[in-house]
Amino acid sequence: MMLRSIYLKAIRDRWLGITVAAAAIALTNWMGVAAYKGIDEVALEAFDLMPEAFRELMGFDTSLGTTGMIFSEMVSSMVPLVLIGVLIAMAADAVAGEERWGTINVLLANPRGRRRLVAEKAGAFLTLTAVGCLLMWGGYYLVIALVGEDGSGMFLGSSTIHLAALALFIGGLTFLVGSWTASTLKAAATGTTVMIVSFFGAGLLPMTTWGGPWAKVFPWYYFDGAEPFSNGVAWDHVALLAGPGLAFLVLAAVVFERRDLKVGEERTTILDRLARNPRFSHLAERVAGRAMLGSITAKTTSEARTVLTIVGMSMFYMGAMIGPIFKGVGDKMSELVKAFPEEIMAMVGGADYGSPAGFYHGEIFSIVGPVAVAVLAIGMASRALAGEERERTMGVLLANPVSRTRVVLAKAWAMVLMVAAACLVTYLGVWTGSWLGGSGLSLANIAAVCTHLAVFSVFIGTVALFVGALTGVSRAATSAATLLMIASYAVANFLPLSPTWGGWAKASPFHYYASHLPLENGFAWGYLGILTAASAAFVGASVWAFRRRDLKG
Amino acid sequence: MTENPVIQISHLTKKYGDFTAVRDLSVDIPQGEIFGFLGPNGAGKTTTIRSVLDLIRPTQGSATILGLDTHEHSVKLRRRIGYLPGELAIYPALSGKEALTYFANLRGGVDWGWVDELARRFEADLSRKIGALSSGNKQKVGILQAFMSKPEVYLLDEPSTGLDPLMQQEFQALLREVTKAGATVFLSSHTLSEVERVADRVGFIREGRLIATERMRDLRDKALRRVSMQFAKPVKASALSAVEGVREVEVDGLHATVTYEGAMTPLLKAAASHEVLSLASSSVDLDEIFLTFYRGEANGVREEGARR
Repeated sequence: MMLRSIYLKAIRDRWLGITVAAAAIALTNWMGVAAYKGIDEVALEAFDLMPEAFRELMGFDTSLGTTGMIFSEMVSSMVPLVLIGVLIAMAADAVAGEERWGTINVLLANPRGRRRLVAEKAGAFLTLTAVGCLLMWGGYYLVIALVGEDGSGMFLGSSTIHLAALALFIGGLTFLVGSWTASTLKAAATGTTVMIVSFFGAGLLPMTTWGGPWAKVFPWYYFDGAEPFSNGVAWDHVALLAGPGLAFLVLAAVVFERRDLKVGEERTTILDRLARNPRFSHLAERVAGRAMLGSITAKTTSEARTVLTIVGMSMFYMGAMIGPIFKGVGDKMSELVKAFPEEIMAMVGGADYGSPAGFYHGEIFSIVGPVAVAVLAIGMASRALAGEERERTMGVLLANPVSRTRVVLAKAWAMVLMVAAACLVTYLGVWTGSWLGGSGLSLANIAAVCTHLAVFSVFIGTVALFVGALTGVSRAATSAATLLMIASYAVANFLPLSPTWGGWAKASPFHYYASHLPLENGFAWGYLGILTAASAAFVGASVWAFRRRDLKG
Repeated sequence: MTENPVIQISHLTKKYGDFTAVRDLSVDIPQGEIFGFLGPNGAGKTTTIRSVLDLIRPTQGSATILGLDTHEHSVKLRRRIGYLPGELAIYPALSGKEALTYFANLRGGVDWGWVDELARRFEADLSRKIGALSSGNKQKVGILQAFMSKPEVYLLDEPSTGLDPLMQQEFQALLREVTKAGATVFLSSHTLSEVERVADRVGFIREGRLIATERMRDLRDKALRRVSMQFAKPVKASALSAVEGVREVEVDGLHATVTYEGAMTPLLKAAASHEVLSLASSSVDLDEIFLTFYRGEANGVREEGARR
């Protein structure tokens, strides 16, 4: 049934990812709401004590209760980042993926024109965007029903319409780049960059005195600039996102119709171009040449250079930005924070937003940093074994005198190195930001938080490695590690607020990463030891699992 | 069977649930031999090779190469084995040169002069990314990676796939060279033409079972040949059909076409008692015997049909 058309097959291949994302979001949402509910009254009283200006700045709206606050946080950051992330992967793969895997030849050998191909793929993308939004929206009401609220005053539908419009814009752009360049990598990189940069641009610039108008440059501004969650749909903003989004899809059909089809993705990097120029070939060879092929570890790290560059640049950019921003708002904030009761501090992850360290923690190290670095780790680890099997290169690799154990260890080590590199860049970014903004962060504590980040990300990566080693299915590895990541975030952040369930937070790996607030308190060696031991155990289990089974490909 | 075989597969069985891909397969291959491993698609050729290489684990049975168990000593052995997978996949983002450099680094002891020599012989373009190569050109890179370390044993799974006739010839010459130098080759294929010119011995696998192993020489002798003869006077078919080895006789006036197997002498003797004006023999037709093996065993009725 699902193989009757290109459209149906595209949906068949991708519905699971969307459903898992929606389920994970609903679960996180439910845990958050349920945990806050126990301290509803205290929290609300405390929030009412806050000055209006601060509530506005932080986006806290007490009129809707704590449930409303959790929802407003969720719908403005986690929901769009997760859903659009999944849709970017899908849109990047839609046309370019068929060329990358070489399946475009047999596909177009059937009586289907190129325009029809793009139309069906775009149709599937639109359908899955709609389904994803509806699932998210359904999840909101499920959570509301579970905790016995009525959801009045929350414009959940409006917020979902804005979500769909933003997804259409960024996904459409990704789809266009993929159809144009035949490169899934370029397409995904474009979509992700637009998503992350505009998320921060639209979110951080209004906090400065000069940046407000510039926020309107970013698509994200039209997603939540008009606060659809509290005010309902701003149709002009929706149109500004959805219009170009649809235009991108149409344009994709036009450019795809005109160009030569490719089979097998040929990546041309700057180094390749240098290498072709006889004047620079020697230099290029020294930079890229034998070193990257010297061993399994070297080759694996060199393959992840692009992702590392994106993650590293984002982390550096954020780290360097936060310092100057805090300089602008910090004084006001630390005054306000003094008036806050303890419960409030617990609600913002225990971070003291009035201090540079707390502000840094809340802005970078609470969600975005771990997500970015863990994405690098999960990507590398799930491709490490299962990816080589999927691409059928494991056969030739193991035709060489390398043991399975060595393959697992070399790939795990490559992941550790790249995560360490990303965290080193984060360190430099935060150091730069602290220097620019005169925040005076302790260098040892910056090192501590970056070490905690690295060790946590490596742990999440080793889980992906293990699932890949056990199953040989890279999607299973990615999904399992991502789910663990989201669940452990939810458990560590929301359970401590509940008097009955608080102790269970220690079951979450995230607890050992963040609860100690290393940027304020330095290294927690015991916690690092626990995460390191757990990582080592998963690597050991990966070796065991990978040695005992038949390999694919 | 053979004394000190280089490759020895003993009672190899590989099951996937209820499905048996390879069933109790045993074969010994001595040093310097090219063993052609023939069978239709899905017969179990690739499963056999992958089991021998320890990429998958046999349900029962085992294999040794150079006297070492292929599971226990898999890493040590791989240094001495060149493997070319049937469905070749090499990192598409690397150029041919980069991919070979990578494997050379993992393997150690690669003579780049030999690699360059191979690249020249096969006219392989190693500067282009593998993802951008045609399947034939990609296959050349695959061949180079299997041969570059001059291993003692070659496990080649349909190696000629995608190669043009000139390159196939070059490849066969290379196989002869390496076996002359003492290497042993296990060559899997589903087409006889890929192995008939080089193999010393062939094994036929069908539905996971090795149904026959034959010396190539014996196989050629067994093969059917056709002789067309022109006589001065009409000859009776019965005069020729009674001769040893003759399978079929067709007489049309002064012209007779005889299909026979084995040596030609009895037929020549019988023909010489009549006045023969001309005689033409068509080349060895292994394909027919090969098809017999393909279709034959499980379905005896079709054996006749295959021989016509």
